Amino acid sequence: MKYQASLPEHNDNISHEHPLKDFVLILAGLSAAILVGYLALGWLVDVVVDRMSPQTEARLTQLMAWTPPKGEVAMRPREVWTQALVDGMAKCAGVGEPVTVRVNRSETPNAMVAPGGLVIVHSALFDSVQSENGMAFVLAHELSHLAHRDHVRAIGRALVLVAAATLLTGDGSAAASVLLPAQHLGEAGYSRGRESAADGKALEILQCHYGHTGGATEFFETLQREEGDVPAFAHYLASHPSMGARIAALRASMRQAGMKAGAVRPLPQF
Amino acid sequence: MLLTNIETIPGKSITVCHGVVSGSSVRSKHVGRDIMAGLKNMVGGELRGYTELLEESRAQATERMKAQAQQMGANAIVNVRFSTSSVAAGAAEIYVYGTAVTVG
Amino acid sequence: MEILFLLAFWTIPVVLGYVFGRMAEAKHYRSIIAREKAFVHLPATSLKTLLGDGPVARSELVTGSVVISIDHFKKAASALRSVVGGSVKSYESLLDRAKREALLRLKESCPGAHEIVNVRLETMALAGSQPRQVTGVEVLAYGTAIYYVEQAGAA
Repeated sequence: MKYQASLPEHNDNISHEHPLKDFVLILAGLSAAILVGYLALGWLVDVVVDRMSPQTEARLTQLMAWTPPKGEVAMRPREVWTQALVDGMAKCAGVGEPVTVRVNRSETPNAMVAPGGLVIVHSALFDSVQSENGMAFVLAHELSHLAHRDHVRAIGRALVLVAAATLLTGDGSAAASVLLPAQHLGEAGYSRGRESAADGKALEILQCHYGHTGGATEFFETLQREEGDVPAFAHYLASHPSMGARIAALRASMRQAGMKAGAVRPLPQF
Repeated sequence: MLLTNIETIPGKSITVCHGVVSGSSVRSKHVGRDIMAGLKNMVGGELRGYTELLEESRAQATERMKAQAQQMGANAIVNVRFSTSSVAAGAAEIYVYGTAVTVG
Repeated sequence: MEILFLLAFWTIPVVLGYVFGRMAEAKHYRSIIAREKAFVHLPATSLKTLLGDGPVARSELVTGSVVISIDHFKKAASALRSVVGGSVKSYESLLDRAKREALLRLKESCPGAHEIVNVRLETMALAGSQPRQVTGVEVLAYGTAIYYVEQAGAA
């Protein structure tokens, strides 16, 4: 047998296209598909919650509900007053279930609502508003969350998105941890949307209950004065819009709907 | 001890066949090699530590196979084949086997 | 804030892997092509029959092996590919390099030989610290080197 030394001229064992082309194409395609899937799933949850009957909602919130311990005695007068205010606005808010108010002693002004019709107010909130109307707006904002079923929405979204992510990427894979920060960004945006919606409805509740929207921006203005300047990009990650944005949005809504400010009622001394 | 991976030893003739002999060895890496491998993973390229590890492993397995053939009274091993497998994180098993023969 | 850190954590190794990995690969290929030219005179076949005739002085089992690691860019590219399916082009060059390097080392281990017969190649993936993670590939090439009795010369 004769041996003739020879080497192939070109290498057919590898592809000659640029390595980045493959990478970029798949990355772009996958990102687009994930984005579309994320938006579609979120929209689906919203549709389901909007169509949910009050009975189903009541059953679901019962599962999530939590009875807090009795507040301290010093906070009782505030609690009683706030409870009366909330009960007065319940019809305007369209909240069917009874709402319980708790006032906790705290240095940070805040108010939050928990499933099961529980509104928790921090005592420092009383120092951050100047009138009954100002306080009423904050409470109306929380009632709006209840009326909009925002807790059910949040849990529904979390369940659906985690389920989809695990289904697609498999259990415990590295891909899930890559998707997590992206999901965080998306959820922050959605949350800001819900907060703005609650602000809008709170304005309507105020108009319904008092006949005017005076005092609506008191709390936000106080916080804006105290907080000062926060870098703009931090708000992309925040669950709530910036104070400036919220005040501007409220004023714009009032102008658009022709709502006017009127005389505000004073806060009682506690 | 002569070794080939064809069925004969060229230039000699097989007189007696002693059967299959084999040698195996399992080696695990140590931390020094592992750190380099971690860094190399960033940019790719040859992992010399692992190459040496596997070569030593192969040499040991081959020695064991030769020793087994010697015990059987053979002086050559033909049709030698290698098999490697990664048995656990950081451990590799090398398996060598062939037919022990006596050549004249 | 953590988002930026996470993003950096994931993209920096991929970028580094791309830049330095491509450089290392190009350099390796240049070396492979040069050495293949240098060793083209030494035939290595997967036949069991010898190319030349004439008396054989000696024969021995020879091996050549190499372990090449995967860089992060290849890992990321193959992870994306594993979602959509199809040929994993980034690994093709890795395996091609490893096989040619192993064959070259096989030839280099017996420079005076006249031919190498029955060349076989074995490929093995190296596992990493995490389960089902591949950190590198090992290729072993082995064959029988034949040395003819000198008066006949090479075939």
